[in-house]
Amino acid sequence: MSVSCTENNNELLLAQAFVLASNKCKISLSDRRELLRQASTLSNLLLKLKPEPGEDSEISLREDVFINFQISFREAYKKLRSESESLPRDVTVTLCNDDNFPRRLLDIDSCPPLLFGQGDNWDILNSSYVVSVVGSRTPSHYGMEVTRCLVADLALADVVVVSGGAVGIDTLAHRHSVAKGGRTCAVLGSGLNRPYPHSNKSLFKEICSSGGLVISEFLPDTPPKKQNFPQRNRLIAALSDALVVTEAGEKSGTLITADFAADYGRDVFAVPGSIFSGRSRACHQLIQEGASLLQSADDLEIIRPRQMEFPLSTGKEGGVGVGARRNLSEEELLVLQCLCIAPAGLSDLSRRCELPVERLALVLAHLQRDGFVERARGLYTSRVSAF
Amino acid sequence: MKKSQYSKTCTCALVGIDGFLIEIELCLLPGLPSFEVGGNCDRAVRESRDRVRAAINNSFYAFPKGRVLASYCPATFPKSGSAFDLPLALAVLEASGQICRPLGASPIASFGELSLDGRVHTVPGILNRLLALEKAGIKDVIGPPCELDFHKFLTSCRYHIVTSLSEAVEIYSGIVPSDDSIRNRQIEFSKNTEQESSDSSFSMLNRLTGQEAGIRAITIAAAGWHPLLLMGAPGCGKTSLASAVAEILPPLTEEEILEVLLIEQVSKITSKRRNLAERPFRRPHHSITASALLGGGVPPKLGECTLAHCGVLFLDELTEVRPQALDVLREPMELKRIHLARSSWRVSYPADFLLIAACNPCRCGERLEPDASCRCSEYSVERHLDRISGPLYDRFDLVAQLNRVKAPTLEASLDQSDDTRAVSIQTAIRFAWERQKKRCKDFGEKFFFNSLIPINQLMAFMQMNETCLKFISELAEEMRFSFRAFHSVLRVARTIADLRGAEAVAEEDLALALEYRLTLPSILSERNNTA
Repeated sequence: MSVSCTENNNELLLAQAFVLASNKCKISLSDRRELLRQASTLSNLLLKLKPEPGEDSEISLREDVFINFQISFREAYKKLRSESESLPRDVTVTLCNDDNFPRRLLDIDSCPPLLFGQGDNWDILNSSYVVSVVGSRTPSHYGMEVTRCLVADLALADVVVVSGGAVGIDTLAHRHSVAKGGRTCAVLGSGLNRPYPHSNKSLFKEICSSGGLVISEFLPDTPPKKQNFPQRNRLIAALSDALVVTEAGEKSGTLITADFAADYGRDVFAVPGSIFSGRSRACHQLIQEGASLLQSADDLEIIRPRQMEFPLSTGKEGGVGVGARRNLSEEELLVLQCLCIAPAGLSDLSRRCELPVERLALVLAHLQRDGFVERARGLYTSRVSAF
Repeated sequence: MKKSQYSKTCTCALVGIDGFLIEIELCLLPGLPSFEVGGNCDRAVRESRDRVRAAINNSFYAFPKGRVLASYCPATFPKSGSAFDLPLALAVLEASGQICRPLGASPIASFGELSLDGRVHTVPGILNRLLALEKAGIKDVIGPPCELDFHKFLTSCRYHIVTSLSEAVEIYSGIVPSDDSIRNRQIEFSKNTEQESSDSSFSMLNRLTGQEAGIRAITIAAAGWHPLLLMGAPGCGKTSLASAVAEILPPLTEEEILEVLLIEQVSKITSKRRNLAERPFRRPHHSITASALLGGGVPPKLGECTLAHCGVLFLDELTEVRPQALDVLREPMELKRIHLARSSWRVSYPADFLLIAACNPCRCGERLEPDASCRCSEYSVERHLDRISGPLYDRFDLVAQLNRVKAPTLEASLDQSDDTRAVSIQTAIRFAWERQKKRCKDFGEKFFFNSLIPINQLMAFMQMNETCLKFISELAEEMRFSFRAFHSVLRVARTIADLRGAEAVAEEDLALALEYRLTLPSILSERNNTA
């Protein structure tokens, strides 16, 4: 049972004290869960003298450790109560034996005993289909487009999108989901009072106000530490039915997430990219290791979106340009295909397409007018995601 | 009592690059020995008193005793420099009765600097002075030797070259040599500039094979006199391209030759041009100051803008040039002239140059390369390009993006060096110029290059059809052109059509012109429609 902090600060204080005390006594995650399961609420745990050695008990806790724990639990609780000014606002907590605790997390050995969350929409994590979308922190234009289209389709199909709230693909996944009216969940690697990256603070607010959720297993005041992020990644993997890596280069952190997902028996999907750019190397590696290749949101099988946007004929929303979804001429198709391999300058492209520069410039101007091509970093870049 | 203690002689003063006739009156008065000059003279002119006294004595004449008073008129012109030594000395000698002009002889002018031993040294702006004197109706001029063979610019005026005060006295007193010997003397002192033919020309363009994008950009810039900014990674050939512009530009016309010569004569710089018709190419270092670029000082000296008149002003490493210096360029780019006012001086210098600039797109320089190896943050790229102010960046009609030429293309280029290439480009440019001239004449306009078409005339000059017009306005809307950007695309398209030899601007001309609108966001952007 989760209780809003404004109504009952006590629950939140107890939760924090519980985490502090069990950290101090080095109690394993499974024991923590067992303690909560037996006590059913945190206040019970505070009062209870010792664990009942019932038949169904799997607890391996020694009695002295438990007493130690209880002493520090009470101390921490007292201390927190006296410093009531540091209370976080709008934060809720859910215990692993609560009904609204994300049930998918219970599958895994390293399931956290409790989660802090901003917003009260815990039920979205128990909806019928949850997909994690992750990827590079410095995506290419291609990766951004892939993420945008995929997330838009997922939002249309009312699928909950989980991601890490970091810069790059994560931010895009959340942002486009919110923009399309979808529900999304950000799993942070820092405490909720110290959201990281700071630049996404307003995004997290938007997520909460649009029916989404921002969660963290860390105490609200935990700073963003390096070692917290792989731990966070396991939650992203475990919270969902399928993990999609939209774009990731060599040695990307998303490989860790994908490894967790595979361990937990989740479906792992990777979107391929150009073999020349090197920006999708991790995706290709995943595919080689047995991940499914994702070409469209259709490949996620369970989803039946009302209107598919991916793959689409143009990257444009709603046809701003004249004839944005018009038929392309043969030359235009050729140029677009060349550009989909990698962005290029005029001379390079002329060599690649074997078109004279004057002709090519005309084709490019038409494509630019209709929003198929744009110039980024000085190079002509396709805004069309797939063919 | 002596007969005449008064004399009058002519000389020429320079204000800017223009010469003005000056009369020097000199009078010997009784009194304590002294030598005074008056009439808005600066320090250098007043210093000439001692040189004149020494030169007269050392040429075995006698400097008059008593009070010597000289006056330069009109006194309204500021006078500067050492060119008045020779006329002053001649005036002293005549007033003291040591020499005299023959009766009925036409007025004679002179200028030149005297050394203490009586030799005559050269002064800046000989040609400028001669033309001014000729215009004032002077038939004979005495002056120092000049490296330039300028007889074809003179019609009625005879220029007597002298190397010493004694020679000047001879000519002044009427011992005039024959026309042939005057001419021979001119030839004797002139360096034979015409003889050095253009053997080594068109060398730069050969080194640029493979850099087709750049060659296209400089061709368009030269054909329409459009300011060009070359942007690309280090070593992609920006500097070579800029040097190649001087080679593909058609030679100077007769009128322009004179304009350029007048500037060169005053500037005291030795010309590196191979012949008179070659266009100037100025390449100041990027540490240049605003006044060195524009001109300045008292009296106002010529700046690089003026030295590049009718030719190319190449600013390498544009982002390293101090912003204050860069922004002074805006005015001459529009007006094609520079007006300077410094204390009593008011001068106006011509400055119709073709501005070519080059810079790296970011600090590491790799921003625009396709391999995406640039790791500069957007902030640092922005700061790097911020050195070029928005209004100046806007004035570049062409911003050409250059990419490195890949090694295989380079190798291929080494085999086939093509001398006819530059000639054919030059011919194309010349034809494009002819077309522009003719069109401007038809419209009754004085300007001639496409880069100068005023906004109200622009559409008439374009002669576009309906579909073309629709195409460009749709493009402008999609790509969010500014007002100025839209017009410069049109002007560039006009030039491309002229190079093609077409009277009406077509869609493909506009499309190619679009390639040269490399906007700041499109250099930066890696993220776009995230919102």
